[in-house]
Amino acid sequence: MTTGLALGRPTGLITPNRSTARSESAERLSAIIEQIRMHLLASYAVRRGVERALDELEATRGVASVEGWDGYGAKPMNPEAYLLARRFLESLPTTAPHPEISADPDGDVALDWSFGPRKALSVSINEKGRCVFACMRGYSTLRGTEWFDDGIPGSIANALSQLARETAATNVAR
Amino acid sequence: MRCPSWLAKLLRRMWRVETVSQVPRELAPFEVVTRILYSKTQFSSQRMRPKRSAFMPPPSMKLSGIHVTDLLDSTIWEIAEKNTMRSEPGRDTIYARADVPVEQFLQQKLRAIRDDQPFERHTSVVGWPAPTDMNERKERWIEICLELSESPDVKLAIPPGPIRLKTKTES
Repeated sequence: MTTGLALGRPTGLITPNRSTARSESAERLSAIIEQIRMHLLASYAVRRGVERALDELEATRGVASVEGWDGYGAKPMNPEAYLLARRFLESLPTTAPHPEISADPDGDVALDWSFGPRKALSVSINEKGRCVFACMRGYSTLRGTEWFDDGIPGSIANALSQLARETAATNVAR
Repeated sequence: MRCPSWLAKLLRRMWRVETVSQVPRELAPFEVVTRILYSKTQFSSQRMRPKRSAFMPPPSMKLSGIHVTDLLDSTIWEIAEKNTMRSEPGRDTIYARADVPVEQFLQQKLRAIRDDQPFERHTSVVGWPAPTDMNERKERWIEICLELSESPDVKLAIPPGPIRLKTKTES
């Protein structure tokens, strides 16, 4: 799993532009930023991570499409939750590590990041965009509920950013 | 000072002889319960870890497992194959299992109850927190399942090949 560099900034060149400014120069700037973003997304190295996650999501949807798919009576993956998870993955900063995908027995989509011993984040997305998450950082844990609308919820982005930065720092120190 | 292994085994056996006739019975911390995984999406073969979703409980809040302490690997697969496979979606192939020391459940304030229902050695993991706020309930379940999936004491085992339900002519 690659570690992110630009995760600390919830907005930036490589996340979808969220500006609502409507002046001519603002619109021109937005267009340039989008061009740069699309250029980055088109690069093989960056695209590969996103595509792998989207492929895994697609495969999980295929498996979890019938009642009881897990052998224990799970509900099928909710189609709306699938679409929101797709948007969530596409909204991740392009340098962010991509999660492993699975499905929860209640039909939600589960996204898991593991960075090594006691460093992990798990997010569950439902059909309304509710993101329930838990994060382990050493012996401290954090959990909460956020809503996904036009971007990755701040506390999830921060948790992911911290875990990625700490892992990168540990790897450099080694 | 640690017990020599023969003494530990003897003590475990004595504990079991004393309690084996009681069903349902709560399993001791040194026992092991396995969670059978019927879907490839519930573990990472690359990291050799079960994913967090593999431990999420159903609405009944009883997570099914099998009591497998001291059993051979091949015996565990046989028990799972013989007792749990059915010709219905989700139950026709076994891909892996996650072996969880009961101590790990206890650390999360869960209990493993061997109930032998619907088959011998069946175990239910109970005691899941149930706050009335459903968001909080899910948060706490995710937190617990993340701890279990990331614990180095929880081991993923993968059979040499997926175990598929035998058709009547095969059996």
